[in-house]
Amino acid sequence: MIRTKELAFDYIRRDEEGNVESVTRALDDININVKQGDFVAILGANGSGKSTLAKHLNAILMPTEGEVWVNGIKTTDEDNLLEIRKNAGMVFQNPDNQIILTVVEEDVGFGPENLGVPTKEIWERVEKVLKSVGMLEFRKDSPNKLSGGQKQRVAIAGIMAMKPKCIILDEPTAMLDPVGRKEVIATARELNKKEGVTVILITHYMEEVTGADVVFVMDSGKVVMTGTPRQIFSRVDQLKQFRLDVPQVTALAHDLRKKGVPLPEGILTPEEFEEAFTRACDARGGAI
Amino acid sequence: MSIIFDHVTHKYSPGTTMEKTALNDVNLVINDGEFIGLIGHTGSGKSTLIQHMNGLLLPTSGTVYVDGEDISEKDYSKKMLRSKVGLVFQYPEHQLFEPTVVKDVQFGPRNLGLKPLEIEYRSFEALKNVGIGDDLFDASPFELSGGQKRRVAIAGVLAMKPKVLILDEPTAGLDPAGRDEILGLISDIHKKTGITVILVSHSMEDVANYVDRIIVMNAASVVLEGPPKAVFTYAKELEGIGLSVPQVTQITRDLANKGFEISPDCITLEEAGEELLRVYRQRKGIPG
Repeated sequence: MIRTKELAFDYIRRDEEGNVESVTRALDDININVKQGDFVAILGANGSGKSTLAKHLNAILMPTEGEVWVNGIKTTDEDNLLEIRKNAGMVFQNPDNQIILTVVEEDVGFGPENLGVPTKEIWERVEKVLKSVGMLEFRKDSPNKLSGGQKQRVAIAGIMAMKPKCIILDEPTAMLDPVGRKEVIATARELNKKEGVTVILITHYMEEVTGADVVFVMDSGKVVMTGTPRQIFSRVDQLKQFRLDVPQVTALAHDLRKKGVPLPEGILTPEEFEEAFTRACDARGGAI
Repeated sequence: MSIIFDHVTHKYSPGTTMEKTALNDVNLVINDGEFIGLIGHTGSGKSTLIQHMNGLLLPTSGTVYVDGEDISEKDYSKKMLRSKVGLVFQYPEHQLFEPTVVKDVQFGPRNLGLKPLEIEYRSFEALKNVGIGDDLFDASPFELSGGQKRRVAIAGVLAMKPKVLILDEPTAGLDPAGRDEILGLISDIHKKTGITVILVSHSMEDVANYVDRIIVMNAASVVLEGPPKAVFTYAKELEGIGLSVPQVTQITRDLANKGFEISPDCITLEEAGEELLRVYRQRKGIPG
């Protein structure tokens, strides 16, 4: 679905005369391969290159070196730009920057309208996607009356109405409260499972990635770790070096393990912890 | 300096069809030097509440007393109030605008009409308190990293020498290490200067780690308040209003319910770790 080969990108700063002042390598030798239907999470500190990478996946930015393919099309192929953006839709951090019309259903229909979809089909798509993000009852409402989580779901619906194969969510929950965060993540999971949409989720919240198929960790423009959430969160100390963290329950298990309690690494939920702790206490043979 | 809310009600657009009650008969005392966590989901009234503390909003009915004075009085000086109660908004770095870091921090004190030497002294002290070294004083605020910008914005408020510092979600959008740095900084400032700090947060883990008292808001009212340990015993009630308890609290409570002899109200990682280790060793007959 999405593939990058030796992708590198430089931000170039120029002075008033257009002479190069400084060059910052934001992406460096990125090789990733995302399969159709995957739920992929990208973690990384502020400034690690996550958003720069995301912007390459639907041709907002073009590689300085290397290549990016979206659904078999190279992003540098300008004739196919529309095709790429149709296939890979992007949702940003601030929902207020993405909603432009005054009625929910019209906003959602804006994308397909621009693609030249016939009116009847636009309305069918609008109804379907609003249903799938759980916002159908708000279709006639004004977006500015909605909560952050609801607005973000409308933004996702607006992308889904263009029938993309892949949606890229760039910190979609950073400005939301815990309820809004859960709504948005649950919506993304649901779309992934039921509609088979490939999801690429960029986030700073470790709890949000526990359900992903693959996690990429970025640091200083490079992909430094790849694996399942369990594999990634087993490496607590390494993650801390990259200014990241693990879910609180994972940290608890890690600390206790260091002190001799036989718990497995990479525990992801409170339920798993309670089961493993009970087992550790009940096991015969005392200490190890 | 104490802040007292006496039967405070605030209505937006009163007397119109758009009327909305954002605060409903709120009674609250905030004592000098407290570190308070204010939690509640979006729309619960948190922002309306904090805007009453520095007179950006006035009660529709009821009274807010700051330092014993009614802030709604005609001749009460709002300017003085705002120098006493500093408010750091969400994403405060969006409000940086001066050409250099130090000028930006001096903007507030300059408006207070202080002497140049005092302005300079205060700006240096504030920047030092937020961990910005003098090598960055003359840098453009826009050249700094996200975390640094946010610290400069906080310094701008500290330079006013407020007696109360209110921060609206100061960690939004930061990576985990950045979150810890900002919270550690705020905690240090509180310890060093003894000022009252009010932290608006969505993270129960953060609130549990740092604050003396939690105030929980829901549907325009204060529904719970007390020390973190006491508030987090109301797990069901908190979940009912879209909030939660820290993961470690959930774990210790579940294990206590399953018959482990464990204190059910651990609220921090360290506390829960020690308690679980003690229980494990006891079960295994290992001397602690």
